[in-house]
Amino acid sequence: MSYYHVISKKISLRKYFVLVGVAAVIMLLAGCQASTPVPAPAVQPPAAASPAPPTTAPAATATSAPTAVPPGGTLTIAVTFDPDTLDAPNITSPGPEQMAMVIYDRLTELGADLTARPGLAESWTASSNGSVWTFRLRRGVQFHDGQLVDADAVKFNIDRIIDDIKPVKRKAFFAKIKSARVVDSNTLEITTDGAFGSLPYLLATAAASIISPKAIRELGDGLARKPVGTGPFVFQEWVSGERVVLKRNDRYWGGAPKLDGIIYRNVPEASTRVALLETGQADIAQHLPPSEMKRLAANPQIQIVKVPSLEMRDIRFNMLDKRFSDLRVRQAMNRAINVPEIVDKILAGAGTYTGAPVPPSIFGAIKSDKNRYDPALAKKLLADAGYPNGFKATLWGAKGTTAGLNEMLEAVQAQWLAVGIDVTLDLREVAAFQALATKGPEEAESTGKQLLSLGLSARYPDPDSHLYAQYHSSQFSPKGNNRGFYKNARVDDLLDQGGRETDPAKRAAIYREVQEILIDEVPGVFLYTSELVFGYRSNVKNAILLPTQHLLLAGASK
Amino acid sequence: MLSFVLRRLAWSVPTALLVVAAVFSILHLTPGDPARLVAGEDADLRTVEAIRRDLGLDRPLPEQLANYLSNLARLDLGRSIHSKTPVRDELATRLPATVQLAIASMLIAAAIGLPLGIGMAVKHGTLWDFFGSILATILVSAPSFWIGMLLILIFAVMLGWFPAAGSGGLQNLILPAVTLAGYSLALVARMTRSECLEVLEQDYVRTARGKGLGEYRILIRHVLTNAMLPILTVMGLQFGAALGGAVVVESVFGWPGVGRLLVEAIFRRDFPIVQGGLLIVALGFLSVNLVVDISYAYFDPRIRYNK
Repeated sequence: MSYYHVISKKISLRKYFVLVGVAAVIMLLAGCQASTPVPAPAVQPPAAASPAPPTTAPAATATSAPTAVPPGGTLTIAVTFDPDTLDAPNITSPGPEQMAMVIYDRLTELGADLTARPGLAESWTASSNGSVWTFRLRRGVQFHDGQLVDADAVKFNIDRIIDDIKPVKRKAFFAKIKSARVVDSNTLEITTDGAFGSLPYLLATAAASIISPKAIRELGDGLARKPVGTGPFVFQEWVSGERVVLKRNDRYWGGAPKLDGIIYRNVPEASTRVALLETGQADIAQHLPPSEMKRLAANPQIQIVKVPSLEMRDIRFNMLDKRFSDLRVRQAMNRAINVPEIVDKILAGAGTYTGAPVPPSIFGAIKSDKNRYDPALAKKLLADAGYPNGFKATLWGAKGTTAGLNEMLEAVQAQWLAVGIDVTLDLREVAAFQALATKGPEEAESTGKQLLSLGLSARYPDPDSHLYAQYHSSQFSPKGNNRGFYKNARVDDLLDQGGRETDPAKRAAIYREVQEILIDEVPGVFLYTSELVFGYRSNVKNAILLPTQHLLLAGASK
Repeated sequence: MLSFVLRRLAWSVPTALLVVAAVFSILHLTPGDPARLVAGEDADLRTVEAIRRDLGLDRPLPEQLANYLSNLARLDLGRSIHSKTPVRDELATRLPATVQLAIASMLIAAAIGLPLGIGMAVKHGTLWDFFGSILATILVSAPSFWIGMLLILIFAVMLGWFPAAGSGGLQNLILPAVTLAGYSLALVARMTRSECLEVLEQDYVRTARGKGLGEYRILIRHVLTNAMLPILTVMGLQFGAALGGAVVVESVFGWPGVGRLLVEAIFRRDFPIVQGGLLIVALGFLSVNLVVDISYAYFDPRIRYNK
């Protein structure tokens, strides 16, 4: 103790500040290094909106664009996730998909009305048996690397997405495509496994994007971070974890877009996306939280854009469970839930209730109020089925993947309890839930699969895509997405017919019947179609939000 | 000293191996199949199987671990399951942001926490001390996402002084650094206060006062020097933690750091990224500890790491 005061003649605090100083220098160096490649948004948002912060490196864009025409500005979009890859057929989530949609083109494109329209293919015809499709390609279109888009290039892409040896992640989408054949330099023939009416819709998905064969060959796995397409915007830069920057394709075959470029900024936190939108640092913010909606709606500088998605939220019954094999129990569980009220109160209206299994924006979707809220009837049905005092069950779900989801399930739980059905919510992290939910029929009982909270999306806006994988008896999980093991011979038959049929009117009739059967048999509680809620600055024009979560931006301006 | 450093460095090898093995087993025990996640929710079984083979996930676990370790010996951390980019590159692009944020927040924590703690100790029992303690308690208990959102609301939305999110220049660094500093700052302040209080009661401080030394010199020469060791330990731990990535702060501010990379990789079951990332984080922690140990000797000459 006593020799403490002998030590340290030098001032230790000074040493401390020396350390601090050294650290500060290191940090500044790191800061400089990190800030050099920042391409500043070319145009600042209107000053009236808020005193926007000064841009960090205004010079960065000067090197790239020979901007002659009056600039249309750079559109900044606050997105929820950093992409994992931009190699189109290997993308499995809507975030990077929407980037792929503007970097690449496809043979066909979805218009704002969700019908398939000409893209890189000017026109197409199907053979009378519906299994040989001939596509006439647009002439003179060039990839961003200068290569020409011809039938060989397209065939190269089709061969890649149906390849068995090195499967792309979206290979399952294209299971019905058998082969592609070059007829002449701008005519391509695609053969499908039997008649396949929704091929033009399938080819309009992001996974079917046409990529420069040269880039595929030369970049290999590097393509994931350096996409080369033909689309209205050219890939420029991807700063991992932060942003993806695209610039205008002046040679775009559909006419050069108005915008100078697009910046996708990765902002996982919803409230921060709102803050960026409010300050004008973002022009479009994806997926606004329901809690902020009222406040934002009152802001004249912000427009809220709502579109029903392709995601159908439902609660699926395990049909192999004795209780749920009884139609009356399933009906009772439907009748016990007041869906419109839940959508209104808990989701701030961000959902569309149709009482039917197909999202309303998909062609052929119907509405029904056959299973509307009626708790008294629910109790009676339960008593008839032999459960006057209800029963206990477990519901599996994924935890909080979208805002308000957990609360929604709690409300459903409460309304079931009101008629005597005591349901335990077992909510897990997404991947853990997936592992459970995709269990097959043999394991279903031992693992305790009873009720599943699902939000499955159609691959493309077509009833075949939505219904086949979920309700055809050949698609029991883990093979397909029929996770409740629903089986109905008539439904199987109709779904097979619908998949083959090429006449839209006949297809609509077939899928109407399928939906009516499903509404009668209620293999699930068809809750609602989630609504996409995006916020736009009020000066953003013609940025069209599709139910696929993609934005059509070729004609957008601000 | 050198032998001490070398010994410590040698010890970090088994520690790192232990981390690798632990992370490996936890990842493989966690439910959730990477192949299925890669394939997407509506993939059929054949695609899932093909992807599983492609990723080498169909091999027995010991073989997978052995493969990983032999690659690791060649400094190859593997490739991301999803983006196919080398894990090394992924980490290299994210690390600078994390290091920058960690250093900045530690600077703020030290620059404010130390004087605050000293002040509270000197003004012990007064209103200053009381309000200082309350502030420290609030900062320790307030969740960082709340502080972050509050700062965004005030300084980005209302005042417009700083950008709400993103990285780049110093402008972008301030709000996240302050947010991240909050907790460490409070810890440092509280630790400084209690340590200084203890030292202030020592005989040698009374002696120093007795011989007429000014209060300021006493504080710096005698009190702070002797109080420094525990404070350094706390700062070292906090810095190590910050190097591991401040997930919450990174999410709130859209900061492209390692923490979020790891969390996103965990959700996607991108095993190579999680493994490589945690290994780097563990190594960072080990080196910070080493530096702290060495600086003990610097601050306290009695500590000598001979032999």
